[in-house]
Amino acid sequence: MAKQPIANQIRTLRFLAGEMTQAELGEKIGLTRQTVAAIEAGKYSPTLEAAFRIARVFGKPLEDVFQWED
Amino acid sequence: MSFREKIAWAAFVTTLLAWGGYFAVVIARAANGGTHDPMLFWLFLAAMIGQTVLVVAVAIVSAILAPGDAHAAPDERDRRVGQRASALAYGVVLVAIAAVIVWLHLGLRGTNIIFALIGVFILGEAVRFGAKAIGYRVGG
Repeated sequence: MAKQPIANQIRTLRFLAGEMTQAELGEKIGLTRQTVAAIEAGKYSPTLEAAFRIARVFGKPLEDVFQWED
Repeated sequence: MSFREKIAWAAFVTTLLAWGGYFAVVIARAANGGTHDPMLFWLFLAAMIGQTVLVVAVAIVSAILAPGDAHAAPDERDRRVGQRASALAYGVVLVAIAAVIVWLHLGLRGTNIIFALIGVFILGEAVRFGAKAIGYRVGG
């Protein structure tokens, strides 16, 4: 499988948000725990809408959560 | 493994087992005398009911073990995995239908045409379930 060019800081941000679980994050943005885990592991690139929702949960701009890696 | 991934794997494996067994008998009959045999109808029912019972059993056990997962609405990843699997299966069905049409011109006759078309449908479903299961494994 080709490596996704999008890195993310979700694990760190969850930790900083009081060790928020993947299930809790998923519940806030309407995704399953497995989908959050896949996004976090870089196996699945979320839609733009889901990406904005994730950033909003952590109160961060999108580019602080997701980064394009060349 | 999510509830939907378990169902996809169960559907894929049971499709291979139930319909693989069914078509092994059909092909053996076609090679040795013909497929005009009422036993094949009962075998068809057995494959269909057997697969349904197995998938429902997996769904019930999975739902009991993780009720939250089972009740969760499909999300964007579920939909994307499903769309990709359906697109792949559609392509496979198109090629298989073309193969059956060619086969018709090469001597496929009678009830064997029906069995070939059932085979195309089952092949499409196997590819769809398999692609879904693998799609979940690799991330979506």
